[in-house]
Order: sequence, then structure tokens, then C-alpha cells
Amino acid sequence: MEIANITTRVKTYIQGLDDNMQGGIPQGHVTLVCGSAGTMKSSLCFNVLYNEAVNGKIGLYISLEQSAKSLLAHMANMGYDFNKINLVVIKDLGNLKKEIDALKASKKGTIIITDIGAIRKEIRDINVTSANAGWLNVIKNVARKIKMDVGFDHFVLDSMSALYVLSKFENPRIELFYIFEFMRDLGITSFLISEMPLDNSKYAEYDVEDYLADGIIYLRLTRFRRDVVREISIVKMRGTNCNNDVFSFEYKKGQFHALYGGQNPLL
Amino acid sequence: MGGFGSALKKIFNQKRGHLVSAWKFRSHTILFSSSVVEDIDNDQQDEILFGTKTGEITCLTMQGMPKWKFNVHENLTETEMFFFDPESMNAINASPLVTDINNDGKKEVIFGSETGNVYCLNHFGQLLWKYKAESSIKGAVADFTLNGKSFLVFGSIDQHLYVLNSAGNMVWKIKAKSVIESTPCVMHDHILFGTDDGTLYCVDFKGNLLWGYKTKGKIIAQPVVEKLQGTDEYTVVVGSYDGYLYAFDMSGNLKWKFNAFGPIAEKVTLCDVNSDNKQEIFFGSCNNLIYALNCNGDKLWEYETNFWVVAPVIVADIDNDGRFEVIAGSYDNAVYVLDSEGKYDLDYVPGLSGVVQQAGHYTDIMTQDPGNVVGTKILDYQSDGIIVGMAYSQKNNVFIVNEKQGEVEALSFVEEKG
Repeated sequence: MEIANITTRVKTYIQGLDDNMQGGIPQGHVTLVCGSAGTMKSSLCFNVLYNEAVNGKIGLYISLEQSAKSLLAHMANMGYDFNKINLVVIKDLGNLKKEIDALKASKKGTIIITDIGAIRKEIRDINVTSANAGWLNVIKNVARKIKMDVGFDHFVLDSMSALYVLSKFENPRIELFYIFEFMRDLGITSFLISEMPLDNSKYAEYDVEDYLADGIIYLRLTRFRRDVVREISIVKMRGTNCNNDVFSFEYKKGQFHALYGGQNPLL
Repeated sequence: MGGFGSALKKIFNQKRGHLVSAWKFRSHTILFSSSVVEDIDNDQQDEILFGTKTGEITCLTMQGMPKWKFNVHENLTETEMFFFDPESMNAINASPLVTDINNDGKKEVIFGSETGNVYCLNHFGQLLWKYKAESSIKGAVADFTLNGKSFLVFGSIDQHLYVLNSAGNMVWKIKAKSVIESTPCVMHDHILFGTDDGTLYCVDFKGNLLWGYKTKGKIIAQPVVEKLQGTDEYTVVVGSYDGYLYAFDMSGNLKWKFNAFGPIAEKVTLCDVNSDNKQEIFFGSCNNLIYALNCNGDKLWEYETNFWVVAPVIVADIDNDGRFEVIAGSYDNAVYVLDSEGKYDLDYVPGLSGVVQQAGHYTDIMTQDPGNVVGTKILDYQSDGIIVGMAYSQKNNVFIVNEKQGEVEALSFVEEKG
């Protein structure tokens, strides 16, 4: 039986990479974006949301540690033009409905940034935060509410490592399974950022995320003499015929590039 | 059945009968725990009480008719609501406690909820008071009496063990090193409770730590304290998610532990089923087995179901033949009625089994038992759902089976004639 390839794909907007993965990530996939500090994981994910928002889509970026202010300053420095899109920053859960309602009339694409750090400061007096599942519920409920009210297409969780600090997982294998299924059930394309240890020994904390994820994008820093270059590879991408080689990863003139040469370009 | 028939039944261990469904009540929500069967209004009739995922406590008659219902729906702020799973934010996770907490001669119904509130209702289902803990309450509330006054004790996800007085005011609280999901057990000035880091704590009535013992899995089962050996010495028995059942003396010294090869989620049931003045121990495990142990932790028998056994095991004489039966519900949807003493199965008959004679040395002294006691099913009943709770009304000889998908079913034993 021949199965027609009718998968709708979400571009990574990395020049040279999408062509090597049949045009992008299959819509609805949960993709782990992993790498050690400084490998541009957040930038890569924000880049997807930004470019999709320019095309009229809505993306939700949940930042558990870095403040929205710091994140946006960094992105502005990279040259993103926020006039082309709606940018909504949620710092108070009580304002979520008002902020979402304001979006309903807009025809522009949008990035909604939920600044969990600011929310934590806002509600430190509320005695509900000791529940293990508390912050995980916040993430799910924010996503559920936005999906219900205005709908959204893409989701970034920055980061899984921070989530593990906020919510203790008693049975990670079971609980992570339900988190991944939650995102699939919402019908959104998700990017989960995972901080890897410096020795790059595993993709994520519990060694199960890589099995549960539909795709893994691996970013790393490689030293050559006194220089450090960034590299990117697609470790896995379900339902996709992709090139798993290691590409050099660069950001130049407002555009990410995956440079395919089969070897380190510095050599 | 007469004397000869009864004797025959004992010899051949064949009870004839079946469990029949007397009625079924549909709550249209999810159930997590067992019902409680008590006469709450002193009318000489038992009532059935259970809590639901949607936050309702329902009181039924023994005929399955609703008497009253109380909904714990809390008005949370919009921000607070973000911290809860909307489907279970009012959930009542454990069985209610039915006791006369204020010594007015009538019983009250006391339970905790996912929002962290403890509610005290009168026997009409009207709210008397509520107390707000700092986080969710997973286990049930227990009670104790000190100097003629009644107190309530419960654990919370906020890691605290709370003690309230009969009016719902906090008397003291102590913080454990981990989340408390278990129901405390109170016995002789001791409060015992388990935590999610696997520690069994024993504190006095002022909250001072007497001893602790760390197992390798979380303890959500309620400890049980009883005179197991037929002497005056009390023993604490508790199961852990590490798959072991532990027995301690009242000073916290480990007496024995038994490997059940699967997490133990509920309290054990104790009963002297063989009239040796010692308690036998019955419990289910998440390796699908129902176990019977003697008071020293030695296995008497085991019986394998097709899925986890999480609901508490009941030991009762359901057919009035003077012998106990073990009744257990499984996640495989079935209620099993087992012989409490098991059945002796011969592996070989010394002097007759040729295989043994050929394989062994003729000069060896035969030390191996010629057989084993095995768990023996008398009958079973297929319900429509995963069984999460079991309760028993001795007055009515009826089992109340709680199924996860919201059904409460009453089963009674019908003996076959002839």
C-alpha cells in the first residue's frame, strides 16, 4: 500500500536545513531542541515563532527562567523587527484573558511570551505553589486557555530543565508521557528546549524525553584551536527523510544558516 | 446447609454459590477510593459514603438510593485556578472519615480535597466547618482522643502533618522531609504516617519525632498497628512502593520484611482466619498478586489476578459456614473470592511418585514438603470497570465495589442450593 506524503511541515527557517528535511518539521510534532549553554537554542526556537508570526500564525513562548525583557532585548539585538508582529507579554495570570481578548481583533501574527519568573514574583503569597504539579498545571492551563480562546499553532517551552526544578517528577517516564501527549492533543507544533550537560552525555534529564519526542535537533559547540564554532544536526525526525549529517550553524544578516560541507569549515 | 453438607464442604473445599449485583449507582465521574459503610444517623441502617473526582461526597442508602450529596466546589481566584488541573481541582482522593468528632452522639463526615480544604459535615450532609491546609490532601483524615477530647490528623502535599481540634482549629503541625500522601494511623499515643521519600514516621501526640524508618519507595498505604502474635506486643505493618511489606515493633525496630515484588498501595487487612490466636495478613500488590502471610511475614499463599490489586482486601465469612473468605478487587475488573486458608496442593506423594524415587538418592532423608499451600479461588465476579475500592457491610453481608469510571456496585453472595 502506498501512503501519500501529505504531511504539512513547519519550516525551521534555517537556510540549508529545511531542504535537507523535506521542507521542515511535520506539523504537530514535539521536537526536543537540545544543547549546552550558548548554542542558540532559544534563538532558534524564537526564530521559528517569529517567522511564522510574520506569516500570520500565533506562537506561545513560555520562559521559565529568562525574563521576557531579557529575551526580547536579546532578540532585538539580533535584528528581529517586532513591528511586523503582535508581541504580547503575560506577567500576570489575572490579565491573561484581557490580553487574549485584545488579540482577537488583530489580523497580524503574534508571539505570546509568558514570563513565569515575573508570575512567580507576582504570586509569591499564594499558598498553592507547593503542589508538585502546580507549575506544570500553570503551563498546561495557559496553553489550554489560549488554544481555546484564540488558538495557537506553535509552542516553545524554555526550558525542560527549568521545569524539572519547579515541578518534582515522581515518575518521570509516566508524567513526561502525559506532557508529550498533552501537547500532541492540542494539535500544536512544540519545541522543548533541553539544557544538556557540558559533556553532552545525554539529550535530556531523564533519558526518556528523546524516546518520547518526535524529533531531536542537536546543537553543539566545537572547538578548533582558539575558535569555537556552532554545529547543528537532526538526530531524529519521525516521518521525515532527513539528512542526519552535522552542519555548521551560523546566524548572519538576520538569517540562520546550516552550512553543509561534510566537514568543519575551519579545517 | 446441615452438618453433613458442611463437613463435606470443609473436606472438599467447594463452596457453591456466586456473587450477584444487587444494584449499581452511577456517579458519572471518576472514583479514586473505597466507600465507607457506616450507620451515620443512628437509624440502625448502614449508609454508604464516597468521594469523587469532581468534588462530591455522596451518601447512599444500602439500597443504592441517594440520601444527600455535598459539593466542595471552591471559589478560587483566576490566578489560583491556573495551578490546578481543571478536571480534578476539587477532587476527593480518599475515603471519608465517619466519626462523632464533637461528642454530640451523632456522627460527622470528615474528608480532605485537592484544594487543600478539610471539610466536616453533619449526618445530613451540611457543612459544619472547614479548614484550609497549605496544599492538596491526598490521604484520608484519621482521629484520636486525648484527655477526653477528640482530634483529627491528616497529611498534605505541603509536607505537613496537621492536627486539628473538633472545631476545625489547628492545634499543631509538623513538617516532614517529603510530601505526605498516606493516611495516618493512630495507636497508643503514637501517630504513624508515610511520606513520598519512603520514610515511615512515628510521632507522639505533641508532634515530637519518636522514630523513622526509610524504605526505598514512597509510602502511601496507611500503616496498621495490631497485636499480631497473640501477645501484648503491638506490631506496625505497612507496605511501600519499593515492593516490600514491613513490620516494626513500636520502637521502630524492623521485625521482618516481605518482598511482594510490586508496589503496595493500600493498608493490609488482619484477621485470625485459622483460630491460632495469631493474626494473618492479607494484602494486594501491583504485581497482580493477593498475598496471605502469617504473623512472622512468611507467605502462606498467593493468588494471581490479571492486573494490579490496589483496593483494600476484605476478610469475611460471606456464607456463614464458620470459615473466612478473602475478597479482593483487581484492576482487571474482577472481584475474587478466595479461600482464606488456601488449598494444599501435593507436588508428589512420598512412596508413590516414581519420579522422585528415580531422581533422588535412596539414602537421603526426605526433608522437602510434599506440596504447597496455594491461593484458591472459590468464585469471581466480573464488574464493568477497574476496581479502586472495596468496602463491606457485615450487617447486610454486602460488598460495595467502587469502579474507577464512577460506578458503585453492591454485591451479595447467593449460595446455590442442592
